Amino acid sequence: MYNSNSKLRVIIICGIFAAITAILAQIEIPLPIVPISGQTLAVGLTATIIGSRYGAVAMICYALIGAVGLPVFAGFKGGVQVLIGPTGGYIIGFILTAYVTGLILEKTRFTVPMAMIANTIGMFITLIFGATQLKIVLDMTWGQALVTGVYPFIVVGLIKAFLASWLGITVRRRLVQARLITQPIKG
Amino acid sequence: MNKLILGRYFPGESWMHHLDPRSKLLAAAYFILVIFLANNWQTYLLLWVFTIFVLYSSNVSFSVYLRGVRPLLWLILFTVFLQVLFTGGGVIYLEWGPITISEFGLLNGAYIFCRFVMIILISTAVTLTTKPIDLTDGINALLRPLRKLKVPVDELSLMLSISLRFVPNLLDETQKVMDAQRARGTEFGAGSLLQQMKTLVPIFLPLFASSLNRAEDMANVMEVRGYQSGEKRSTFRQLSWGIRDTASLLIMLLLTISMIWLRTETTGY
Repeated sequence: MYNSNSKLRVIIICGIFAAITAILAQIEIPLPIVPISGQTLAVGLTATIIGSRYGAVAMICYALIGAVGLPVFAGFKGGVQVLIGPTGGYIIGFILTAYVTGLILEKTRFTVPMAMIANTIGMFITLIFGATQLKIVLDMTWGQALVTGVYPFIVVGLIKAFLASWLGITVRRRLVQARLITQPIKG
Repeated sequence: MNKLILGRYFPGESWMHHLDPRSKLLAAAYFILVIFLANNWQTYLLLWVFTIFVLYSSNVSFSVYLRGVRPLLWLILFTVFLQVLFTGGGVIYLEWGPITISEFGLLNGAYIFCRFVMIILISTAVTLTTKPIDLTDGINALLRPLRKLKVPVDELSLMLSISLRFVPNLLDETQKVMDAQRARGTEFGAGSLLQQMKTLVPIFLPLFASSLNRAEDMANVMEVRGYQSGEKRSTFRQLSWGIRDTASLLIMLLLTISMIWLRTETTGY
């Protein structure tokens, strides 16, 4: 009985975090050159707060609610066509990104510098997945895929990784203080 | 923001609207495979006729579909452009340094363009004519065989429903929290990057805190009402497979046969 209860809790938490990701994806933080969408930011935050495994499950859920047609991806896009389209790889990459980002933090310590490392690695995972799908779907060479799908996003990605690390760790600390999550989170 | 709540569903009474979500999902996935059978203009023409027939039977105006294609158009055109420039063979129309515009390049570009636009149009047709909740049920039903492989299909679909249900709620809440912070003098989108980052904390913190609390409440409520995971569940919304659904799948089969026939007739393989 207790077992099924905690499982239920995990299901609900993952579902809610997928919903949070969906909402943050629509928020844009205006920056001088490129506005930053909350989508990738939310991936880092989710992984920092609920950890690797649940973070990854929440991202699967996010991809699926997008697939069933809710416009939850950045810029109010939604539907299967986004996932199987040229830019869908980034969203599929979020699943592994959340897992790895969370895992690095769980295995080390929840500090801003560690989070920065974890989020940067996470960013590269997202970009690699994105470029791979871009290459396959659009029949590009690796060089072309890197030029279109990776290089332009590295600088902005680093800023986002910093943002996600600082925010994630700050928010996490307060949530731990308020005893809303334990260190590490238990289902 | 209303868009986020309704999804991309367009209410209607068309043939497409009345199909079972399972048959729509199956047919759309199958169509994507069929597209790869096409290898000459005759087969692509047939696919276009089919696509336009599907869009017409959805009774949603064409401009809605075009709006779905537009955001991806640049990327598609860019690819077509690369294909045209770097694929050689056939009659050469223009040669300039490493760049050649050849017959095969142009053809390849056009084919890739068609393939893309058709995939986008068909999957858009499914999402425009099916409610998100019905699609969730459809996916759940189609994934059911995976339960034998210990994939937690029911848990996944429960998670999806919870997510779908919470999107509007959380949206509301975010708005409220932002208003509350504004009333306390927070200015969003002003100042340096660091200052802007700091204004995000008082939004995220209440949002995450109330979400975690709500998850706890919801788990308790569900448990009190006797939810047990792993039990056989009944559903409030029943899916029903009708004659239209069987007919649709037969049409797909017909399409495949004519595609293969056209291929062998025109190219010999």
